[in-house]
Amino acid sequence: MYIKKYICRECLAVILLGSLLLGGCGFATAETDTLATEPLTVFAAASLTNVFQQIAQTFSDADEFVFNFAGSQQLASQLHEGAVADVFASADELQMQAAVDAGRVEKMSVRTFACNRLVVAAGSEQVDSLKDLAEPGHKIIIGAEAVPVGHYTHQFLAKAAADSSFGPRFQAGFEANVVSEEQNVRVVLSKVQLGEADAGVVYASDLMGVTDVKRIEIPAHLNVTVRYPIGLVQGRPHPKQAQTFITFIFSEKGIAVLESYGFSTHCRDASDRGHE
Amino acid sequence: MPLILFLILPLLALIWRTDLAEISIHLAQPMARRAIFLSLWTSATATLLTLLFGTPLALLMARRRFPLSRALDTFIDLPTVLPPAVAGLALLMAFGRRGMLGQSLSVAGLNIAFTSLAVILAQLFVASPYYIRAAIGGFLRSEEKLEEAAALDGADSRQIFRFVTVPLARSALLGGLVMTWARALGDFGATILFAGNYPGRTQTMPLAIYIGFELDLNVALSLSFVLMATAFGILLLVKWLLGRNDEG
Repeated sequence: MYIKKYICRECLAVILLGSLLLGGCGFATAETDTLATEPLTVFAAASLTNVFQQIAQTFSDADEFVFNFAGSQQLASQLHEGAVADVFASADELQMQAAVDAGRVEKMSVRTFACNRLVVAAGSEQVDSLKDLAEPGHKIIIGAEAVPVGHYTHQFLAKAAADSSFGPRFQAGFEANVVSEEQNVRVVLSKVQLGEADAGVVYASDLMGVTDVKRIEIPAHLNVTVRYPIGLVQGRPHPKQAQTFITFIFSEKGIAVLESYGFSTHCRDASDRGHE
Repeated sequence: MPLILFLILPLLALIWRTDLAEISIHLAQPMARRAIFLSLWTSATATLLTLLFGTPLALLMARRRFPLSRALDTFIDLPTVLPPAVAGLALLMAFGRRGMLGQSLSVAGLNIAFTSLAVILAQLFVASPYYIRAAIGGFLRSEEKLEEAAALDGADSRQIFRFVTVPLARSALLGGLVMTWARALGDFGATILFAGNYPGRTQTMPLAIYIGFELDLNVALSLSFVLMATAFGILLLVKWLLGRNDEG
């Protein structure tokens, strides 16, 4: 009887240790081996989730892809730690640069393929304009500083602080209303949709097809141009397919899909540089 | 044997990659300091609440058979096997601003989401079952006959609880309480979903590790090291408590 109990406590101890130390911190790292028949592994920013799935379908059978969607900074870290992938698409030039500096993305292959801008997603009736966000009592969610969307949000706030019609009081009021810094842009939107927060700063593309939140535009002179670079990963298992996929994203069909998902493509690098 | 190596290796690797000489510098950073402080007081509060409300519940479950007691018993175990993210979502649906209870609570002026209270509730939800389970076991082991004997000798119910029931179940109660504390300290999923992430208010150590993994790997490693060392200490303590119980 005692022995049986003791063993069970042992199991519990092991399970607990496991869940304490590893629980919840599992990063979905998609890996493939070098077989050519294996699917193409694409690491892409969370804000590209819907559009890349659509592009994959337009490109060919969606089954030939393994997507790892996460915050760009997580993907860059995973690449830095040696994760195997074919293509990396980042929502942030900084994170792409980090992957290049770590020797994981071929510098010459990196090009901008799409652009995005910030908008405010408002779930509350009391938030109607940008200036309302600085009024006390509203709950705002933004991305964490390390996440591209959070980084851009801080740039927007700095521009607003320097602008005569907003000023430092807007920035201070806004920041005082921030209740959470989330780990990716999708979580920001979800929590606004759930009604947990009154507003959140997200990308314009995130609100395509979303009807349950209001969209408040941020004027161009306060906004940021978010550039999405894409590049080939060093040691990729499928060099040919990876190049074909990137070429497709720059094709007329690729552009059409990107624009239908709220991205702008006027800022993209002019030509397909390919392998240089 | 290969499995034990598999279990030990990542932990050794973590220690190996942690710069032990600079650990105090990393931990002195505001982000780390605030996370440690927040983790300590929220998990301590959750553990205290578990002790206060879990003990009577466990005693009831151990001493009385009543309709639905088996179903209730299963519900107590459920949070320990649910993915913490499910726990976080469930808490949001209940206590979120548009949740079942949250709506009336926010009318009453009590907003839980994104506060330290939300952190405590998340920890209470995922961690208290460990104590309740252990306490039920402990109370079942301490024989009712001894309590009846004490009652015959004229002890009142408070004296019986204080001098017979609790001492007999003591090591089980302590062991369960320590497990609850450890689980509360380590929670990630329920906290980040329900309480969000804000430094000093809801960013506990596991959240700081997750965000720090992206911001500053060294701080994340140092915090991981502290959590691992704490968990190791806690488990040793539990084993010692349980071992003592089995011998006696």
